[in-house]
Amino acid sequence: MPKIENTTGMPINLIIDELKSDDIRKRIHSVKHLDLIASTIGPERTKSELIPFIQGMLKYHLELLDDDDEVLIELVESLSRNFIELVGGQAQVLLPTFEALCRVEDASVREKAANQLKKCFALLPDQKKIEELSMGIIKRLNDSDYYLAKNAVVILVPAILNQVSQNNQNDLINIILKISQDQIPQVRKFSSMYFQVFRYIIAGFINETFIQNTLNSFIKDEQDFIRMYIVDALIASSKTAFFQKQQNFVLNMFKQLAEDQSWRVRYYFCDKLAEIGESVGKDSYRKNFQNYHLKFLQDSEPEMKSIAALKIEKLSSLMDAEEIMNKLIPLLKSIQSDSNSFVRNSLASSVLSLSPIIGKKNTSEQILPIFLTLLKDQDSDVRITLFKKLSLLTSVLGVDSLSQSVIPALTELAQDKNWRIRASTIEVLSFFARAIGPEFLSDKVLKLLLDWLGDKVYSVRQTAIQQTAQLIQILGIAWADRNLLTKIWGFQSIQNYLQRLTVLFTITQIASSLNNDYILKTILPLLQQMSKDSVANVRSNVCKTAILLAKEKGGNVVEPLKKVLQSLCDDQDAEVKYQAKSALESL
Amino acid sequence: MSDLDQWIAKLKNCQFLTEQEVISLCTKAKEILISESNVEIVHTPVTVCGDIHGQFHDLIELFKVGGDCPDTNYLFLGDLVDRGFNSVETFLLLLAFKVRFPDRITIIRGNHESRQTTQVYGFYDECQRKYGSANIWRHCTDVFDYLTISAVIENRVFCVHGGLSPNIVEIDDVKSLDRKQEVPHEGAMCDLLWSDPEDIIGWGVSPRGAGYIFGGDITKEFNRTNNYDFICRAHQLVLEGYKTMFDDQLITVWSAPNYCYRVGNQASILELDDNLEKKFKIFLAANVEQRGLIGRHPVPDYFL
Repeated sequence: MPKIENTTGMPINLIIDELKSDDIRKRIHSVKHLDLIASTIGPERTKSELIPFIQGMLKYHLELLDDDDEVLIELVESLSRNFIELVGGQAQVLLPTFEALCRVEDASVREKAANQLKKCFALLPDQKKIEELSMGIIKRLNDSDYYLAKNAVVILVPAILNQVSQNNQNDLINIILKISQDQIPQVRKFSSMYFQVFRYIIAGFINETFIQNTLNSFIKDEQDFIRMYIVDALIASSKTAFFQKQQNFVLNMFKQLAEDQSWRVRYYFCDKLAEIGESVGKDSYRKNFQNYHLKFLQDSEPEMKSIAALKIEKLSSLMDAEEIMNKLIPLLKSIQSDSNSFVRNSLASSVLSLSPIIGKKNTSEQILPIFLTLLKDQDSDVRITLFKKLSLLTSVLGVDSLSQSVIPALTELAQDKNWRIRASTIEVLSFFARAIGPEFLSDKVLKLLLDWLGDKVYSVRQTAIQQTAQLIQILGIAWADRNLLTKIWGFQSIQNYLQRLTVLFTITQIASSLNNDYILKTILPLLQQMSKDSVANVRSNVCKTAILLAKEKGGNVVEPLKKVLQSLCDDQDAEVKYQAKSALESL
Repeated sequence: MSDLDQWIAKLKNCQFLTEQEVISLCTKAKEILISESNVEIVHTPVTVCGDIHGQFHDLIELFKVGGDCPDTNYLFLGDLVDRGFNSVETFLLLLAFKVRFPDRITIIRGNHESRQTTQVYGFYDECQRKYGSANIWRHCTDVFDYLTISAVIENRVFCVHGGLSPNIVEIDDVKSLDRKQEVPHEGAMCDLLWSDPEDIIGWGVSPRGAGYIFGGDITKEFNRTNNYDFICRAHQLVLEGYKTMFDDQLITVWSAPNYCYRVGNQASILELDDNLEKKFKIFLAANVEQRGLIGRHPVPDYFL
């Protein structure tokens, strides 16, 4: 068992003490390091002292019910890490703690705790023990006054179902049945969400009637959030014999869900359509479900149109080219002009994926017009989404045909009033550089980049600098020097000091791509010049840049850079002096 | 140094410091502020900012537009606390910057940097809530007494939080004041922090109940006497973020967007470059994603 190192900077005793601190942040910090504490005090003391202490702490929390959800979240995380090892492999010791954590308000904590219980069960030494302890825990949670505790029950039952005696199996099945028909919708939801057809089937003795009855009761439930999880249960069951034998039942269930009157259920169904397609196979998908997808694209709810459009990318592999041409694409024409921008956005993210499937001619005739319409969309998010998928189109149609339409659109986005849009557009450049290469970065595009480097908003300039660094990594320093860098170095004579700083920030960001010769020839004179700048902030940054280059590059650049730093040691500005002196000291 | 850097890093993450750390920071701050003049000299280039009022995430947005401290020089015109949810983090971050980079940032006192006002408009309550006692509030309000009350940029721009006073004709009149006290109810120091410009002639009674309202003639006379190009002040909400008056002889800068999370106004900062050229940068409130999650509160299960 590996010993955990104390990297907290605090002595262990202090961490242990702070478990009882009044300050919630200190408690959280200590709880985060429970594994460190356990590792230090050893398995014996962990079992006899730490675990009981934690249980006491939980009892106190549950009774006082203060809002310490954060403590619980950290606690279950900590205990999930490697605590079984830390108690010397005796998983049994942890059971009461996890059982208590199954009773809390926070759903993520309950789920984690239940999953940890499963893990512990798997590690117990003998079958009888497992049966005894797990049945005990399940029954206690099920009978608890606190109805949310049933959440854990539906997770645990399928896990141990085939390891217990016939009688116990019957009891467990009845527990699940009762939960599925509980009067509190919340509780029924637990059952629906975790209905693991797969596990119930491999338990062997259960006949399909139980499964069909339970699913039938779910589908008739008046709450839509209970009906919708049937989709998951059915998909998960696709690996079982049940699925093959009861094809009609399964297909029927799917169809009912696809036609459900609540759009949430239809939405959930559509979201999982690709997985459904995989589970039933291409032929069955085309026969039974393809039409639903097409219907969803014309649904009255915009959310439905959006999810249907979004899924085009994944579902296109289940359709053949002819069907895409004849049935799918005609529907897209109305989606591209939908009044809701998020619908158009979904279309933008997936429509281009059809290009490789239908071939060059069809792409040019059918997809290109849609692309050009979306390119002029009034919502800038739509345009940006489109750009990110551009390589799918250029791989089929080639770069040149597109640069005529793409570049004006890019230029318009580059001048948007909202600075965040200007910043996200910049990020598109490296997509292009990677997908298309330097031909895309024509003079017009480079001018855009330079404009961004001189933008009035600091964050846009920063994003542009980062993109420049990325471009240089993709396209190489030689390309950059020829086309871009000289112009950036020209910023050093701009009147506004904030723009002059761009030169230094750029050098810092691209340092890893520079070689020492370039530094000596071009960068060093720049730094020398700027070390005499009238504004102290510039001189401060000269120090920062110089020390970074000296440390990263080493070799023959160190001495000249040192000289620059030395010249700033007597600067009249206190901060510049401090920067220069501490830089030299660190060398 | 490294303590300060740590505190700055914490505060930038909107994490407040421990009580000990705050007391230490306040002590250091007082040492630096005590030697500042009532009319602090500031050099170009500098970016001038108006009221912040505890809107921490909008302050971060401001830094995203104007640049980080210390790469950009800043002059804050006061009213850093009250009304917003994060007066503590806002004030302490700017104070930490001041202590770490004293030549890169200047902070002027606003009318809300006072014991009376902060007990009514939120800073006191926030300190109580976050620290469990009034200690931090007491230490911060002690620091307020040390803040300077005006600044002059390159001998050409007069910066103050509120406006002018009938008791101040020449700039030396400001220098002769004793500023190290709670903001008085009347008198020159009070006027500088409370007055407002107005389209009138001469002086008038202020509806705020402190300070005065003053007209363009007063403004131009003051500027002429002292050889200033214009007055730069804050104190009044401006929907467009900034407003110029009296033939550009007075500028109001307001840097709290969507004031009180309700008004929906723009905010601005005024960038003065090396040659005192003016550039206004407008920005809006940081939206929900940028504010980040305030604590991890999972949605309760009954919210399906």
